[in-house]
Amino acid sequence: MRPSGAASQLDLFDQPTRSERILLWGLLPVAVVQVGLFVVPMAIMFLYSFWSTRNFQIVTTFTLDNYRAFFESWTYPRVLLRTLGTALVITAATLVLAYPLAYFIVRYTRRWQKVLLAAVILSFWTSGLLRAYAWMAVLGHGGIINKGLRALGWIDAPLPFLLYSPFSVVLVMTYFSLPFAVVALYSSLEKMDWALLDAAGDLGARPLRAFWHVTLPQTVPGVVSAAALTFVPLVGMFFVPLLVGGSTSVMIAPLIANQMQAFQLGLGAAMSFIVALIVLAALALPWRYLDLERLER
Amino acid sequence: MGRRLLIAYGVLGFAFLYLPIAFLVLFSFNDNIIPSLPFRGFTLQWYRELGFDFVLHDALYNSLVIASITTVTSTVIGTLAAFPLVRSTFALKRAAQAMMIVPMVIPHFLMGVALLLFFAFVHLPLSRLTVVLGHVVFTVPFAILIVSTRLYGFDRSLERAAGDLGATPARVFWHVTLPLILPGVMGAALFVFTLSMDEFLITFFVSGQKGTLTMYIWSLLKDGIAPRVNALASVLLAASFALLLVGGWLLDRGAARHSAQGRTP
Repeated sequence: MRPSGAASQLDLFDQPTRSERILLWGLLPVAVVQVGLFVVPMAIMFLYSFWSTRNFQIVTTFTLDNYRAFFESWTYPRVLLRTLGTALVITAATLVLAYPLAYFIVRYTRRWQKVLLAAVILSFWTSGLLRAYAWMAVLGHGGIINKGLRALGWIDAPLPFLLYSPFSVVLVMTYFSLPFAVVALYSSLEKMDWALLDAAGDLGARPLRAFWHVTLPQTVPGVVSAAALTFVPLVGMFFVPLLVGGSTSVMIAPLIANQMQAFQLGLGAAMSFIVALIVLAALALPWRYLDLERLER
Repeated sequence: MGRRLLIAYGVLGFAFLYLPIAFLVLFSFNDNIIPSLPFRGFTLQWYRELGFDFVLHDALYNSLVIASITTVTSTVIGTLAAFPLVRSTFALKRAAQAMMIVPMVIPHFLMGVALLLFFAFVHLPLSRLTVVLGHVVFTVPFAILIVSTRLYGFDRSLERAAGDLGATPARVFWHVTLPLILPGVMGAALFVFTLSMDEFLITFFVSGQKGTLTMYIWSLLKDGIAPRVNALASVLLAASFALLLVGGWLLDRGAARHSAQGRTP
């Protein structure tokens, strides 16, 4: 960080206060964008959640009917709980798969480290829709897995659970989340003090014990942020359950989209607001850890 | 043993990340109406068909216009914001940084719903403009983040030197600061461009009747797998990879230059 306040005023050749004050104007456009196109729309959404629609017209009298409709419904809370449950399962699977991969990149890939990290980042920066399509083709009845296993004579009929099932949703969403988690865990593992691990080894700790007592505790903040950053986008999973999920894989975001298309704007807004609250709670979790991390320094 | 196991795991992990994409590209050349095994022979037919798809061309044109406007807007706004966020100290700086991150991680469908209701509220009809606005709000944080990483490694003694030699702040910015951060800014622009081209959910809510590339792909995917989609996907993924590699190279080059200068006493 740049020196600030009193420290930088000692610098005779700089005029920090004046130039820094000019720099602050650079925040104006971004503030306009973030307030005008994020904060205000969220507030409008909150407002709509207390309004109802009648004959495709908005009725702007305050009502709690939308929230009541949500909680009294048999389907909606179930779909929300299923979404959260599935998101938790995927988050756990992602972390378990991502941790050793990040560890591998940090520890065993000296020359290739940059290339491998770039390969991870590239894969999550490319179109999700197209990567979901790639999986549809791989998992389908005529896909390479079913065709391959049949050619080997291991199965007689296509495996029923491969596509249009909860399994395929978990598999493809884990595939989507993995690169994100690897990058988050990588930055945490990279900062680790590896001498401590060597010391534990020298003192006779077995590798697993050393990992459990030395490596893992040091990366807890990284794990928690990775978990939250994986979980939050999963709550909004949309096209993957629609494309590879079955009839039992209805998730909350497509359901809300249906409400919006059916002009149930108030109900859609109320459901979105409930999801937004969950998302904010999940994001608050790593915040605490990030502060802890700072205190430790 | 642990080491070998991890290396094997790493190889498997990267196979998991890239094999589906490899199959997708492989079967786009397959002379078979089902993009799967058996491999009946090599053909460019599916690619040729893309050339006659005028709905695709319209959608692509729309997306290119939207992505270009988004890129310029977001990169300029992001660069302007990166300076104070890196260099200045002000009250609520941490809160401001947090504010930047939230639109980056929040599920896109929430932003889509909120923007749709907002545009209905202010009576702004859905059009290319509403898509651009939706794309700007989620890409600006990425632009800020990428330009900021360049500014953190910036050697400010060069700016001071120019100032000592009598250059006005505007001249210092134009002749010293800007050329040095330009690779970073260009890299950020390329990343923002691909983000906008690939964005699906916000576009889904606020594009109205205007078909964009992702909306067109969405309509294709709902019909299931087809070799033509493999061909289209291969072209688009190749374009994304190319843009991102150039973007990454620009960012990397910028970083290398700064650190080389940072070593001078």
